Amino acid sequence: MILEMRNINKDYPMGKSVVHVLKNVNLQVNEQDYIAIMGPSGSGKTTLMNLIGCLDVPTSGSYMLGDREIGKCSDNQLAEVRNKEIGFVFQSFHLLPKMNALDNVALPLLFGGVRKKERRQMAADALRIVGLEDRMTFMPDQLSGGQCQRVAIARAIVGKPRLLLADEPTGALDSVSGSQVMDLFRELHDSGSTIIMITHDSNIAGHADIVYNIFDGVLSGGELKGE
Amino acid sequence: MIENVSLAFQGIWAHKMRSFLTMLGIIIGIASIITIVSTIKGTNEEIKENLIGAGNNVVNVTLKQDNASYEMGYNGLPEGVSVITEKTRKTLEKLDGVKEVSLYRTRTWCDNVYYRNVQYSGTINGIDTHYFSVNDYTVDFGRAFTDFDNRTFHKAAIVDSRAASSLFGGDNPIGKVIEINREPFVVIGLANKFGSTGPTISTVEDYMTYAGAQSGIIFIPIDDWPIAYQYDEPQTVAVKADSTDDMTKAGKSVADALSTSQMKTGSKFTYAADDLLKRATQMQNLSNTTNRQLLWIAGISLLVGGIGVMNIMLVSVTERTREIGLKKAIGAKKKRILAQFLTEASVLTSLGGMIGVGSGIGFSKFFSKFMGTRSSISIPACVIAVGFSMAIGIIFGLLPAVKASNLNPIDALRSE
Ligand SMILES: Nc1ncnc2c1ncn2[C@@H]1O[C@H](COP(=O)(O)OP(=O)(O)OP(=O)(O)O)[C@@H](O)[C@H]1O
Ligand SMILES: [Mg+2]
Repeated sequence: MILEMRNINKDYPMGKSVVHVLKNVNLQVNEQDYIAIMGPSGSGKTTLMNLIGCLDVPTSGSYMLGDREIGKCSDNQLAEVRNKEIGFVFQSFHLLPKMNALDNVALPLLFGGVRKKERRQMAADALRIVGLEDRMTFMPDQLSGGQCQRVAIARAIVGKPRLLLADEPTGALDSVSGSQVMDLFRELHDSGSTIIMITHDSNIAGHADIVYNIFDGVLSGGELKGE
Repeated sequence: MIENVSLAFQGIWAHKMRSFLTMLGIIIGIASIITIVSTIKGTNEEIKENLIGAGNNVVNVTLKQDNASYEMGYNGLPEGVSVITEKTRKTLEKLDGVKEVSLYRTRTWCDNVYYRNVQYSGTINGIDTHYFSVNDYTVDFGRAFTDFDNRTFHKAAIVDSRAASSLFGGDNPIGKVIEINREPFVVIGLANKFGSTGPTISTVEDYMTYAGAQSGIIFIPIDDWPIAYQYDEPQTVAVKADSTDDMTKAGKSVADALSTSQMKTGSKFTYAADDLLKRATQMQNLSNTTNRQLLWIAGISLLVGGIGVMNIMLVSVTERTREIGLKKAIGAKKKRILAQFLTEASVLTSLGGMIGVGSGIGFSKFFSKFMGTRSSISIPACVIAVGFSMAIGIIFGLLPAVKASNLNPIDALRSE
């Protein structure tokens, strides 16, 4: 098992009251799972992903990532977990506009203390996997949306993380580049990656092996397809 | 680190205009400081050179009575004070910081010197064979005195150009016979001080010396002094120090040595050095205090510059919220974000500092050329100025950098 969430709650204070965004969420993810979490807008998908991705800590409940209790980690430890264990793909790519594709991809390695030569090598390999080996020196504004997202995926996988997290990875893409990204996820999964993908689109969710539903902060489902 | 610096340079270059305007406060501040400091240093050097004489490094040690000057020229050696011998002179030369020592007797105003019926009024010095090298004289015509002249009481004289022209008009002085206190002396040489610059006159004594020198100097062998004047007049000791900075030390050690060797302890007579260096320092301090006040004003401009840098850095943090959020999300630690912004701020201000130093050097050159003030660039001041502007970047960049490093990645990513 890669991660296990038990009775996770997340509250946000809103003035004097609090908003319960996640309610008793239980989630288990195994090695090489391909999971989609589906839900309507405002249901708490991004909040859940932030928790899974260690960008935030739960209000209550226990979250084990590997053998680490995330709720008890310091800021620096969380940063290290995000750097080493998790690869993020965001809806709006979040590439740094002043860096070329290769440098963008190599960024997590820089923070992880990998040496420059090795960094470039690994980043080039990752770009090759997403099929952009001929776009390495392009700046983000010289790339199409789909290409940008593939660069972002390359950045997510460059450090060989245990878990690939994607929040609406196709949300900003047209259907053609959207399905390219989905094909890429399938390939990555086939070659051994564990993927959690968040979406409100059932077609996209259909690419995953396991589909969860989230509604008003309550997580349900999680059966393997075809069972 | 190097990576951060080069990224910072890229950032500065990408916003050339903004960066320049941000640096302007620092540039102006540093430039004025460098200009002021160069002017202070230049003025100080000028004072020192004028008062002491560039490269001459001579201190005169004279006999004092109750710490006031002893009227040498018109009195013999007082009781209990012995004549300084050649042997003593040699021991003085071995003292630390002392290069060469000359003994001489002097009389600044004398009018009992004649060539035929032309009267001379000016200085007469009775000198030993070291005097010319200590005081930087060169013999232009004829020859200098030798030990032989002294030993044989050869009644010879050497004149400088001024004395020569007042006595002999345009005629060749060599071989002429002049009368000093009714004793005939043959002129054997013409000597002049080289590299002499106009002295600064700050006291009456300075004026006397200067005016005396204006009307010329006649030299005779020191051993001939009793022929023309009295027997045991006190000697003045001219001490050439190893360097300008050694002058005070050399003068003092010679004076102390003589005060113990030439008289009994507790005597009301002592030898003391003219502390020119001290007098120079006093004058320098006077000019420094006025300039120091200018430095404060320049400091305020640096402060304003620093606040400008802080302001722009805060704007830059806000502008780059997404970048910071993304970096934190993919694993950049607080420290790294902090370092990034601190580096940016200090690279910006150091660059401003360097431009400031450059323009400061330019300004001080300009001023010294067109306003006649002397300036001298101080390398340590330039280095300190750049270091200081770097420190300003770190100090005023701290607040924005802390703000950046404390950004919550979730909020930061959400900002579109
Ligand atoms: N920082 C916050 N403070 C207060 N409430 C918040 C905060 N973040 C999220 N929420 C609330 O939590 C709920 C879930 O938000 P979340 O962003 O997780 O939704 P989502 O499922 O990702 O929606 P979408 O599909 O529109 O992205 C929303 O009602 C939102 O208002
Ligand atoms: Mg969302």
